[in-house]
Amino acid sequence: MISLRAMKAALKQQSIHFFVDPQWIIPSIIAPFIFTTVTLFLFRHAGGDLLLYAVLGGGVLGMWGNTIHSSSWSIGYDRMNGTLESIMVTPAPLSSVVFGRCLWNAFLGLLNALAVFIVAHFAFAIDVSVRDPLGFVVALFLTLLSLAVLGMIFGAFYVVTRASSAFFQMLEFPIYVLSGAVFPLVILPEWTRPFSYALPATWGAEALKISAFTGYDSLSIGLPGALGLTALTTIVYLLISFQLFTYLEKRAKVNGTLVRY
Amino acid sequence: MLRDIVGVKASTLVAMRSQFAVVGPTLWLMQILATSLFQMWFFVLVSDFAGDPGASPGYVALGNAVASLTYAAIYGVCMSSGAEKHIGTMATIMSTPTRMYYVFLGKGVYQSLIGLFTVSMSLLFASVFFGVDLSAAEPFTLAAVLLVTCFSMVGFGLIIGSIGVYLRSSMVLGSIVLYLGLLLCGVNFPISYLPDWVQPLSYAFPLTYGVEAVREVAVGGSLGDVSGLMVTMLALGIAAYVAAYFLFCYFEKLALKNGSLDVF
Repeated sequence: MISLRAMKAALKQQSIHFFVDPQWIIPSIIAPFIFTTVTLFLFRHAGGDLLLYAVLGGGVLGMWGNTIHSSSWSIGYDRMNGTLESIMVTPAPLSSVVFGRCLWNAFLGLLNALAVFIVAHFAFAIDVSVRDPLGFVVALFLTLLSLAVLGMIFGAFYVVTRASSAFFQMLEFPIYVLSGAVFPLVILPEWTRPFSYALPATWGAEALKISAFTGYDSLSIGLPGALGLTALTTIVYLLISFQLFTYLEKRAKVNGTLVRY
Repeated sequence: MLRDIVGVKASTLVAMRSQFAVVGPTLWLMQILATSLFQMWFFVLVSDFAGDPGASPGYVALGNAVASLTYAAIYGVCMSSGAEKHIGTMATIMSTPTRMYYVFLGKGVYQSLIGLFTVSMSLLFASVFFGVDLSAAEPFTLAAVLLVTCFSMVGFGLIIGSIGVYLRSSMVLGSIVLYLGLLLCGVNFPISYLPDWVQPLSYAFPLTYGVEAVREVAVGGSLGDVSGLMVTMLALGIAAYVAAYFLFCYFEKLALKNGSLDVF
């Protein structure tokens, strides 16, 4: 199902693409970065844990922003450059190629989160120390993995249609809202909760906050619960993405739309 | 002169016709409305949670409604040059008798229409979903303020778009300017919250005056009350169009000289 060799090669290729022209990270990270900075200005009178809350949430937004742009576009660029057909005739499964790329993009998202922390610490003098560093690191990497998997799902749709970009750009802001990254989920309307709970980013953000703050557990699930739910939603999305790739690859070949840009 | 006007008109029509070449009308409409609504909702929730009396949810909703103009009036306009490079039509545009500036001005006219539609819908969202009271606003004054804001912002977008003629893409610059307004232009919190050294930068953006004028009109301000802000915006706008003209000429020559016109 997964070709580790193809994944590794795709990750390496994606990293080379990035280092050749690193400016392309800016469109992916600018929105969450500005959103977090605005949030910090709005929270400035509150101080203490609330500011760190905003910073952590901003980190999650940053990772998400990068994932939705870079990962969903990973196939979009192949379509644009005319290399999608070449990739599809290689023996490596397309899902493994895209997963490798998504892992690199998720790693870049981590750098984005790091940039948010650095600005928060130096420009806003916020203490970014966390209560449980080990739990925090585990939560961070699990969140990144979950976002990479979500990026795979978006990438799959690009195999079928070039209009996917509009659809996924449309999803960027709803997920900023629904993940409750910079405010508690309880302030969202009741009807939105199922959508929030279906997102790995919600549980990832919750795990990060639980590991960072003393006594924080807004959904009463504890760190193991939040980590478990992040892992569970990640696995579910991974399985969905494999099914999607199989189905959509077949559909794109039947429709003959691979080279259409 | 007549040739330039025909060029602007033709470019506007081409922009309208090519709008739905990739993304269908329904998805396009959903995209611009959802982006505007969810961005507004995000900041309303943040301000609600933060509880800052200087930046109430109503204040934030109204600011974001006006800022929704940025997507078309600045980002859409400045992306035009990048998009032409992207699809390999920049050299074709240069081979036409119309100066490049007028071609992109035509695209700006079309983006203005989209921007005005977006901001109207955003104001409706702000009023219906977030309780922004616009009952005291005079419709004519509000429309005049939005028109002048849009005019001025398109000029600003053209300046950035001109750089895209020379650079590999205008997307990076466009992305930065798109969101910078949310931070610098009094959209989500008063400009006085910003550090002293940043505040002068806020007044270089036409959006700052547009947001302030709409806030005044929303509480019953007349055309006379906002005339100062409108004159400033008009002056900034005219200066931007003139600067964009010269910048387009400059970057066009530079791109030809360096052979970077089709580099993407």
